[in-house]
Amino acid sequence: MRILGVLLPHFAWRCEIWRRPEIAGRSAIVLQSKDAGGSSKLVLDYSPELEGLQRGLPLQQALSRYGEVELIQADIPHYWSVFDDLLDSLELKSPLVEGAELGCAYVGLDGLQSIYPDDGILIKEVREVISKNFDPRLGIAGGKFPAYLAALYSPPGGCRILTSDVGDFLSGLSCEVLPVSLKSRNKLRNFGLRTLGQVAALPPGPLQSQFGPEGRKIRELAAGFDDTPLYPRLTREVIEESAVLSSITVSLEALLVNWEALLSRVFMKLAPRGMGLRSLALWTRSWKSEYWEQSLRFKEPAMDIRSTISRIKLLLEGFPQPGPVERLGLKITGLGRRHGHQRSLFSEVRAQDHLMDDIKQLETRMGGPQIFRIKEVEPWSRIPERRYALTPASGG
Amino acid sequence: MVQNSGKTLCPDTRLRRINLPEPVSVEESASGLPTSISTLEKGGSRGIFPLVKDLVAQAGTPVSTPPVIKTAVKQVIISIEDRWRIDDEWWRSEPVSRLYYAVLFAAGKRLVIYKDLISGQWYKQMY
Repeated sequence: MRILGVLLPHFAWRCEIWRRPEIAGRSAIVLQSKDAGGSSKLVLDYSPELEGLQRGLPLQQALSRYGEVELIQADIPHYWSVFDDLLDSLELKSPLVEGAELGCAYVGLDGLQSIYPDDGILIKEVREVISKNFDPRLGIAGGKFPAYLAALYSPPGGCRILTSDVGDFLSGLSCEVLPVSLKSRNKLRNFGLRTLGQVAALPPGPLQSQFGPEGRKIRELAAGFDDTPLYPRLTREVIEESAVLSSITVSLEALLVNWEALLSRVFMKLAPRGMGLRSLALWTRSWKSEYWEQSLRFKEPAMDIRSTISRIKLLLEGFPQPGPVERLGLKITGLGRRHGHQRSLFSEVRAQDHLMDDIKQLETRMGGPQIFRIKEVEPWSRIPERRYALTPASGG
Repeated sequence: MVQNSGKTLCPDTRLRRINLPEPVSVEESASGLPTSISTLEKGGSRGIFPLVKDLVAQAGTPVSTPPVIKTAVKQVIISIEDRWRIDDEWWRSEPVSRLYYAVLFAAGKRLVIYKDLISGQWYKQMY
């Protein structure tokens, strides 16, 4: 399985530069909130010159190294929107495209030889659909992990292709690149295993005894073997709506009104097709650029605004906003059709209700019961007139 | 003697009894068996003995509704198909004692009548 790894380093930071060119050239850190309250901040991305930072580092530690930096609150929906567009472009070149995470994609190359007889042509085609602003790194190998490493260590503007030399290429790389748990990486360091070549040289038995099932995986990855399948994107319809509020608000009612307006647009599109909402994601952006997102799933597709809004209200009460909201939106991630419901074989309940209303009106007008139903009183009686009786149909 | 409170018959006052016995005029033979019945029939006087015409105005009938004309009709019994007796509630002040007959008329019509053995009155009733 030949795979092309596409790596877009510092993707979030580059998205911000693309949107706001004035921050280009400045040192900046893109932050995301660790919790819903937004009190704890972590580093999501940073400008390339800030060496030593890494994703997930607490803001305080990052500031202790670099005091004079610009802090940017992450806009995850925007990043994913840009990344999805990029994946759409890649799908023009290959039907098998996986968006592993923001800024990292894998493209399946099997069966494309007749279209792209040469790897050079393929790489040229791929580069044409990716903006140069993202400085894409490309790498081709026989699995996802070696393709990722090939892309990671490819020269800017170039591409590294690993064939039979994958072992030699990996042997000198640090164990820190292994996609395993932090605990396992620390353990490797404690054993004095610094490079992938050292790990690959070990027999599988001792590694498994020390690391459990992950030990085998570690050895395979270190040897350049990764049989993790490619998970191509599923073609699904996604509907997105967003709005900028006329004034920032913390009012739950105001938020609900705005979401209701967005939902009405969504249902206008869905109603003619008889579709309902299976799942959706709600997001807000506060005036301090705090980002809030929650997902909703419906057991049965929601077919109208009222049922959807009631669920959204419950969600908002359980997950409060990190601050005053200035922008909000929703993304419909799943659609479904109404489930079948078994109805009464005989008469409809509503018709029964109407009939009962008519009977009561008749009683009122005539001054007493007019319609009766036969009721068993003493059906076992030998005296015929005692077996059955009439009772008012209205029950009154 | 136990007083008949009526609770057994219709414990719920909203209930309206149905299939109540209807008095009929019956001619009896010497042995006490029914031989003919005179009943009031609705409609024109097509019976064998169109003797009495009376207007029977039903209670509560609106004024605009035309009165129902009933005619006394005598029908001869050609056979008695069945006979049974009911004695019940003998412990009450108004015991039930009836002798039922399933009779067949010449026109082929079947009817169930009974004689109240306490009052001697004849009635017709669906059984």
